Amino acid sequence: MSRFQGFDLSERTHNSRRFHCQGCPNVCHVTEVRFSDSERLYYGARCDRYDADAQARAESIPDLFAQRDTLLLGADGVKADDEGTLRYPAMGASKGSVGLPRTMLTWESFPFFQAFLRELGYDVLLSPPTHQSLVRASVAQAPPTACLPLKVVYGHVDRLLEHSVSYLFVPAMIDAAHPRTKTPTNFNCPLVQAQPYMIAGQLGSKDPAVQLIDQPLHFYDWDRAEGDLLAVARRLGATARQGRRAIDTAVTAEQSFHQGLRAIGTEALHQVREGMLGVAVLSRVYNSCDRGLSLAVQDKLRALGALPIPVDCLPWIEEDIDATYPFMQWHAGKRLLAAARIVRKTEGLWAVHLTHFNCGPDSFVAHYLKEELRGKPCLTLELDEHSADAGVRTRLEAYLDSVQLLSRQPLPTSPPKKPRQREGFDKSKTVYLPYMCDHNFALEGALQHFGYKAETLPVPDAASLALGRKVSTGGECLPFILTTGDFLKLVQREGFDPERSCLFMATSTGPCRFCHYFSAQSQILRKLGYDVDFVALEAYGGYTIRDLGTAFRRTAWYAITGVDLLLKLLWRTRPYELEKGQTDALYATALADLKEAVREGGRHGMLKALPEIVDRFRRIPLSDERRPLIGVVGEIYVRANTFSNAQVVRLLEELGAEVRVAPTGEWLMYTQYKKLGDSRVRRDWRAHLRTRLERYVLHRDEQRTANPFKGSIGDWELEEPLSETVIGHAEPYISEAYRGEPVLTVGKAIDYAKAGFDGIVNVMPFSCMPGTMVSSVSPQVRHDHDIPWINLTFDGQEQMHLRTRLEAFMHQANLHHRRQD
Amino acid sequence: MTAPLRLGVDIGSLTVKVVLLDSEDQVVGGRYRPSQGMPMATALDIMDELLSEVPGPVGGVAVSGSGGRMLGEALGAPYVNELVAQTAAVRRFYPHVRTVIEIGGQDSKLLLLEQHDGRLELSDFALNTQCAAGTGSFLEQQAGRLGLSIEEFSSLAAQAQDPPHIAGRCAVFAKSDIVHLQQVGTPMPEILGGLCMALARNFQSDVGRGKPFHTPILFQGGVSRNEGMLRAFRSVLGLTGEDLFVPTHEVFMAAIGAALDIHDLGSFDWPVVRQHLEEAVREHEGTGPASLPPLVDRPTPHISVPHSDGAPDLYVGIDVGSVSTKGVLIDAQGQVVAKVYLRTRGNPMQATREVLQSLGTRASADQVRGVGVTGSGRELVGRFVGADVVKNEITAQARAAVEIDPKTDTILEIGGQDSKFILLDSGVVVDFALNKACAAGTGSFLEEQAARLGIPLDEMISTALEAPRPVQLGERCTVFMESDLIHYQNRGAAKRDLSAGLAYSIALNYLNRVVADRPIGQHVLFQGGVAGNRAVVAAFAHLLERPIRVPPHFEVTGALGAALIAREEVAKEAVR
Repeated sequence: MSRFQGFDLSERTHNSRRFHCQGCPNVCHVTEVRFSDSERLYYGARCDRYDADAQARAESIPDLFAQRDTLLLGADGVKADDEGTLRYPAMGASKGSVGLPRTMLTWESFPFFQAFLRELGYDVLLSPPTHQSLVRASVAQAPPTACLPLKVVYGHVDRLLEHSVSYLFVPAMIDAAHPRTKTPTNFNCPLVQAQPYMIAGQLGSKDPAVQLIDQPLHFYDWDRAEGDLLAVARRLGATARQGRRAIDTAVTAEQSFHQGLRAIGTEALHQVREGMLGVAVLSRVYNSCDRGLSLAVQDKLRALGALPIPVDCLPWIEEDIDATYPFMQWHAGKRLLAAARIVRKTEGLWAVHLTHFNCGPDSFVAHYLKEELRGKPCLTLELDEHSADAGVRTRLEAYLDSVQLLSRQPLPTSPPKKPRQREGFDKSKTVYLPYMCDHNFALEGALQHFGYKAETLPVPDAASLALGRKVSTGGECLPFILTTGDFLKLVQREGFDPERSCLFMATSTGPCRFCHYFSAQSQILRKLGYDVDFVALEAYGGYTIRDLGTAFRRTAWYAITGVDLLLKLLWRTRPYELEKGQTDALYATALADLKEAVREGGRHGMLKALPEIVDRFRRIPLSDERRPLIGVVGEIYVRANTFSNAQVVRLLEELGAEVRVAPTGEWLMYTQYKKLGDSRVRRDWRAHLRTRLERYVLHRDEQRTANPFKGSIGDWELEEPLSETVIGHAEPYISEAYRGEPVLTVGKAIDYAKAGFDGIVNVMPFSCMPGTMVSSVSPQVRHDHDIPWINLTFDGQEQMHLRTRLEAFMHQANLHHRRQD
Repeated sequence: MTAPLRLGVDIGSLTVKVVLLDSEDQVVGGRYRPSQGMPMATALDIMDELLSEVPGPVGGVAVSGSGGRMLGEALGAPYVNELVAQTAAVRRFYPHVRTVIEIGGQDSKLLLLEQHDGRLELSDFALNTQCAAGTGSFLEQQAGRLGLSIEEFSSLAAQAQDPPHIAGRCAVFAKSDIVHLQQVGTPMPEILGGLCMALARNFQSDVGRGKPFHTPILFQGGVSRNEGMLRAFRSVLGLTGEDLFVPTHEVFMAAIGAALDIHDLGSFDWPVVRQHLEEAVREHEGTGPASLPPLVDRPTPHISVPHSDGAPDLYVGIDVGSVSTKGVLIDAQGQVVAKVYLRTRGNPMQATREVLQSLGTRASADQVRGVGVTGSGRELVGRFVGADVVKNEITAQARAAVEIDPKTDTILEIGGQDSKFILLDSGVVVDFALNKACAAGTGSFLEEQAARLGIPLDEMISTALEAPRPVQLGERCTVFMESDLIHYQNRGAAKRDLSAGLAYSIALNYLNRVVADRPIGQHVLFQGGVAGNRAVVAAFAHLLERPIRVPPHFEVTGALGAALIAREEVAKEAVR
């Protein structure tokens, strides 16, 4: 018998009232609807407090996330205030208080730090749980391109400042401990690392008295971590001995926390084997365990009758995934993929991938996750501050509906294939280089000189963008999308032979997304049926190439420096040419001749050809005006690649500027510099000495290449500053412990400012993590060095305001220019 | 003889502003008018009017604004960057001001000013780049949605006592909040006040991004006419009275600044200039920066559904969505006997009442064996109508697709505010996706853009299918696309090419952001309200290079699925 109330419901009245639920700090606006037959229904609440059925269902299922919270936060003597701020008393007499925001890695390392700091004699304050008003306050002051978990750090820090803590403990969490992996690095997300630098501005303006502990912590190397922790202890007034004791206490606390997690996981898998519908919440720990960020997905799953399992409770540590992902440099990424592997082989266990909008790492991890789980559908929930509860519930419900229809047969357990990565070039194959900038021809010429077949692909265009987009997950950065599109254009060429080709893609050991380009591209091409070799050379090893030694590297370095100088000559000349187009035409032949000289005669050939090439530029008639000088810095691909930066150099010139773009050689010098530092940390004195020598040679080579340019470009730009000088400029804003471009971008900008430039243009791809870091410190740099500064993001679309913004920027630069005169 | 007047023209993204200044820099005439996608023609009209009324000779013209460059070229007039022009106007009339908040239709600006050697200069600025939420169109959209003129909006908003919190990053999110507030009877002034607060907060976070707002602050641009906004800014920035004020010529500051920049006062000859302008209007009409192939309207493969014989046993399916509420009546064979589609208008219960009333004209209640409810309002409405089964929309849509064609392996479903993608294998849902935290690729986006172009949706479809050169509008978030639309409009792209471009971009957006890298099968069914848009169907067919089939009851498939599930549920219970 149907429960149908009939077609005419005009008599079926309802009353509704709205109230603020005071059950928790979320203070939801709940609507109660009451029908004439006195049934009541509630909606608008984030939890299931008002849903009797769901509550009953939920209560029959263990709350593993709550158990995890108890393990994470429970301690003797802890006291909570009304809002949920937790205070942990110091061991012994209190020397003061240290505040920790309940965000990011605190969700996994709190037992360690809590024990450490209390043992050092400090009260520990943990900010309250994330709730709506805190989210709102955070979003108003955080950089808009950050992910929500990072944004809420601002709100949590505010709460701690209200409690007037003496210290704020927000260390730069560089990397993470991992008992199994052998990968060279095991980083945290770049923005996790950069937290202290990003909030430094917030502190300065609100409470200059509070001391920020922003010590870089390197947990992947325990010896180093001990040193880092002792530095923290010293800062907090403890002796080395007290510091060591605190470290021991912390290690014990962490071990017991990890044991607890494992016990939860063992019990959970037992329940799944007994027939309970298990759902692993695959995510970073901080975006799923924080109910204020996860929209309480865990509670919703329980209300739907499923058992949600926190990612770090699964025995992920037992899965060896290095063989498949030797390039995976993120700790959280490894954990997530290892957990996915467990999901795949566990009957009755399903997965929800919980992530937040603009999560940089997840845009790549998603590629691997799908492959790892293939055959087992996984629900992706991408949340942000605007996500609605109802939508999340619908997705979970539909997902659970459909997985229960699928058979519970175990899937084949073979792991996905790893990419075909080669460490050297093969003379029988043509190596294809996606066009980044004119330095491609330097590399191409050097390879050809040594007998390799090399071809630079055409400059990326709208077709590259469209093709790249088609195979992206939506959140990857522009350089990835464009180079992927370039490769797709190549493999679709008539007569393309994968066996006689290899693709060139530089890489690094992190921490940004760049190191996933070749692996994701390899996976994409393979899915489309093209199994092609990738030559993926690693940056911090100094781009070591099998079979190609120092001679090749020096040749390439000469050629790259040559192109850098030639570009300086182009930018020095073009704005002042009297006959439009003359410089461009000359530059094109000069570049071709330089490449040809390298191909034929190697580095000596280039040195011989340069004086004549440079001399040609002297014949271009020029005006004698002096324009304001603008420095373009930022992410290396976008700043160098004219298609991706919408020809920003030409546009600036059109608006009256003389421009310099930070040279590409800068990055190579930086990798050498890091190699030097890394060998020192490893105490590998042989490598240290070798690198020192190599740096000396490269520097001298640079000077030699620059000689013919004397008098044609500014004396100040003949030689690039040393990496240590550039990094030194950046040190007050971003520590060099953070690996990668941000220190170079900030440092080079300051170098330009010191050289008398009139403005800085910082360019980056949309959602670039290092770029977000730089833009968040840029107001301070701009202020301290009194130079106009503009941040530009590029996503491949035409930029609506680009010209307007640059016009106004040039107006400022002109004023700066006039003031300097 | 009187000194010649100076003419300043500001082409904004949505409006054209023209002023006349006398030799004392006083405004002696001004016009402000929406450009409706025809900025040059609008400028021409206004200048015709103004110049026929002017008291004396005009000596020169200068232009500013986002569309000013093109006009400047056409007129042979100097172009002044709008930030520079605004700074000039502020310097002349309000030299004590330190911060300017300018909010127009599509653009928001923050200007920070400083004294340099006794002269007020632009020291820093910010524009809305990522998002249009901090702009006037946010309020305009909401006002239009609430059936208010912007003037009514202004006076009502000013009465707000304790405005509720409204999420305002994207207009679409704000909408759902408003619906919610209306449902619970929040007074209109409070809702409007909440919207103003949302805009002010957006401006502070998206445009201001932590930059200091030193006082005194000048608030200008079209939105500064809204008293509610003035109050909202004072509240958000914690200011009182004179710290934040609106200038006399709040919408003309850039036009005034441009006019102030005219130094050559003898070269202006209106008949000559007018002729140039007319040529430019002609030249730019219909020459958009197109790059996509024209849409081909192809008949979709027909799926025949036999008519019902009016059997006695019937099942009701209801799909309550945020934008529309759908209802169907099916017989025991699963054939549709009656269907209804109407707007939810923020009141799901009333919409359901009307849906049932309409279905009730085709059957009597004792024929009904089962009722299924789906959609975002399913729990509430399910209880309200006495449903036998309540299911989420994915399961319901998939169920209907399998009934229509068991071979279906891919469902594209685009509704008003949400879109879904469902993959089926032998009739079982194996994967699906919903539009993520993004409104692009949904029907309401298309409707809003049609309104922005000033053409009804029907006309938009037919013009789109005739467009020779569809504009490539991009495929990212609504806000980016909207910006692109304005951009190309400013560059004079034809409306039909923009309409076709929109059809493409909704399809592209859906494919890139909802489908992402999921595989698309060969048996594609396109459901939901937008499936009725032949231009979008054509765009999908072109992009996917395979037939896109639209079933007969495409707009009510969710309700159909719910009814089918109800039929099965009742059968199951009967067995028990």
